[in-house]
Amino acid sequence: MIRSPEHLKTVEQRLLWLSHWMIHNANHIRPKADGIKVGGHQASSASMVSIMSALYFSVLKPEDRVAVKPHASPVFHAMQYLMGNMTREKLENFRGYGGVQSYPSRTKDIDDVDFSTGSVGLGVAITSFASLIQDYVQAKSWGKDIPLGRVVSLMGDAELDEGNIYECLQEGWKNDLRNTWWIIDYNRQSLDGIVHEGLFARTEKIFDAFGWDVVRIKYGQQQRAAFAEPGGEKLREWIDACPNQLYSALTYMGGAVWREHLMDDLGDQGDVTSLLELRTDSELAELMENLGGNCVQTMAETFAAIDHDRPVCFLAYTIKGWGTPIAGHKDNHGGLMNKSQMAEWQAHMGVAEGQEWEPLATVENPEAFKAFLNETAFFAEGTRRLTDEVMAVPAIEMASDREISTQMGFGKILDTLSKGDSDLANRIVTTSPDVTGTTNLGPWVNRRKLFARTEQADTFNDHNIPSTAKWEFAPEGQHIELGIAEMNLFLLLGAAGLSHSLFGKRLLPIGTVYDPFIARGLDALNYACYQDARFMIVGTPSGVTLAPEGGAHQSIGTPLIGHVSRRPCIV
Amino acid sequence: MSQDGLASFEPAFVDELAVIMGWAFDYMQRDGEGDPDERTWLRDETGGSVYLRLTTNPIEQPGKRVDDAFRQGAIDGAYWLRKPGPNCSVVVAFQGAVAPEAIAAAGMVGENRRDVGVLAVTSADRLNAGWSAAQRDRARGNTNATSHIETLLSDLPSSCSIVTVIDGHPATLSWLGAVAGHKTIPHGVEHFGQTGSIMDLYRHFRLDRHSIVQSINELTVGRRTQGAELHSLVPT
Repeated sequence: MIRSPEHLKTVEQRLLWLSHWMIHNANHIRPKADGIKVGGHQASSASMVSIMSALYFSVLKPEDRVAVKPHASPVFHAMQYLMGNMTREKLENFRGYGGVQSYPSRTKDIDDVDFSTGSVGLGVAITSFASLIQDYVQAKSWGKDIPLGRVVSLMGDAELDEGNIYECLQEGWKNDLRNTWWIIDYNRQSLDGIVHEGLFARTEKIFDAFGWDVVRIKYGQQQRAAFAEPGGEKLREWIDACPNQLYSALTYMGGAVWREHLMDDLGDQGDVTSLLELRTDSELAELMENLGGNCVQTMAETFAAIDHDRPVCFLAYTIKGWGTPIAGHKDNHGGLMNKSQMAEWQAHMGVAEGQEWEPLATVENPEAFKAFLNETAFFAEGTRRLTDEVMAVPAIEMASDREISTQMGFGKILDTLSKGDSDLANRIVTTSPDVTGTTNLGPWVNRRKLFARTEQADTFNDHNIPSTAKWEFAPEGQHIELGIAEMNLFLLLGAAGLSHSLFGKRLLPIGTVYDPFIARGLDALNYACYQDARFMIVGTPSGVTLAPEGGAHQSIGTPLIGHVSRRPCIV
Repeated sequence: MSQDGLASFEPAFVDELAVIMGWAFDYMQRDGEGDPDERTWLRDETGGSVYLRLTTNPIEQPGKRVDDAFRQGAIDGAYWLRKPGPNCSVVVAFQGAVAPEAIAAAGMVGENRRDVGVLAVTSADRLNAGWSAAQRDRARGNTNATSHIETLLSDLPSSCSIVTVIDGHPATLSWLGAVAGHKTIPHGVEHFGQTGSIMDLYRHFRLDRHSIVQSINELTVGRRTQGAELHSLVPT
């Protein structure tokens, strides 16, 4: 069951207009402060409006969490504005001081951003770790009442170039990942041009290998209807065979050129000719641009059809710049509609002058539409910033008359906490990228076990083979063992460090890593901090004091973490 | 140091570590306003994440301390392990695992120099953040704004030199001299390491006690300590 397609279409058109006007206002109307462009991504926003309208207004529930791709920030904030959660003043000040942020920000935007995004790929990967944390919390006696939501990433196809995507796919498979949806805006254009032909056929196999359901949404409703007409099958074949570059170029050039090209390729076949001739140039362009991801009804139906909790990758074919005069142009990524293009498009969209910021401009039946908005499940409970009580810190004492290292002291402090029964210790979750034993987490893990959704015994232990490490996996386990990938470590710490806010259950995450390899996860560390996630990271051993390990394992710069080298200001 | 949202610590002793971890578990849960703390000028009420830089080198501990003053200092970022006297001409400031070398060097120098101070730094990050914040507020007219490191260094004679020691990049501590205008001689690691024993590498990077004494002899004004040069020449 999907909600009213007419209202969903209205939402989509409202988000298209408002997001584009927001960017236009910032670049062409607001007085310029500096000699540089303000920026904003109209084309990348346009390709997302149908997907986001379907997702938020027909599918999501309040317990669901979403990471919105950085360049769709204007669409997200336009949506919150439509719902009354964002001020016009901040929209008018998009990318300005105190205005709506360029990329969705948990800490700086006021409208219920679930995950900050901005560093490509990280907003995607953190959703799988957030889902893992949701499972972790729900498996505990103190967390079993939380409703399980979906954790969704709205991502651009170019994000698949980031290695951390693949690192987290592997970790997700190991941990029985579920309730995770990645919705790929497959516009086949990256920052500098067109994404490689056929790349996704390979990527699909990767998702499949890790147990994901892959759903392709290639055709919109109008296209599917046309395929059923005489000659339609030939049109479908033509679309399937059309190279990305050509499809984009024809989209940019519009209906008359579409017709000319299609007639050249297919026109001598009678039924296709009549299929084309039944449509005006603009109707033909609309048909050809009606890809699955640009069809709000198709997207809503696709989402509604998912009836399992396995992770799903949706490949939604879209046109970058859909519905606007810059649709399909390969330079449109950072490109903006100019003033005359905007004037023409404003007339096309039917937005009266002076009504540009009016949330319900152009809506034929505002009362019915408002009722539709008010009944949207996702927004029904207001904003969803949760919190949890503060866990009292038990006395932590440690003094020694003997020689001891700080790493050994750290292990002993955690061991003492593991033997106690404080609420705080129950909320500690430790994690380490394959250096659990060598960073002295062993005693803690022996007592508090490793986390898995299903029990797994330690074979060595069962066979009475002596070992200092007991590796028992259980739902109540409090250690999440990661493969040796530091980006995953910091993404997991970031997700766990937001548990109080996302799931209403506080965690005190502690990660351990060899100090020099903090540098391998620095972007994810910065990303976690930018979202105000709360965690403890223990870098050990550190420095040249780790003498026999040599230069490759000795950290030098970590006391200065965050320092960047100076940039020249005069060229 | 300088990663927003992350308070960095590098304790030398396990009693400091215990105090810092106890504080950290509370700090990670805070959600307050950004008003500065009157002692450190840090925005501690807001809370944040914590980084601990630790080591596997077992070192001699201070034992059960009679004076609890180190507790607050460990959290604020530094405390006087040995308080400098009124005629102090040199302070040895260290962070982390190099503590035994810094303390030993101060002991050697102390036979010839009066009132030598030893500053145990647990968080250059927090000292630096408080220092910047206090200066910013003073510039805006709040004359009361003072940071922890300014308080610690306020009584040092202006002729005093500060020798800093860290198993990490020396820039972590070399700014300490700018706080109250003291000549600073930073020791630390600037080049890729190599294999060896701890003492091999400490000597190589001049983190050992004799190198520290050597710097004090050659680069500060005051009586020289004998023997440093000889020790540096001893083959490993």
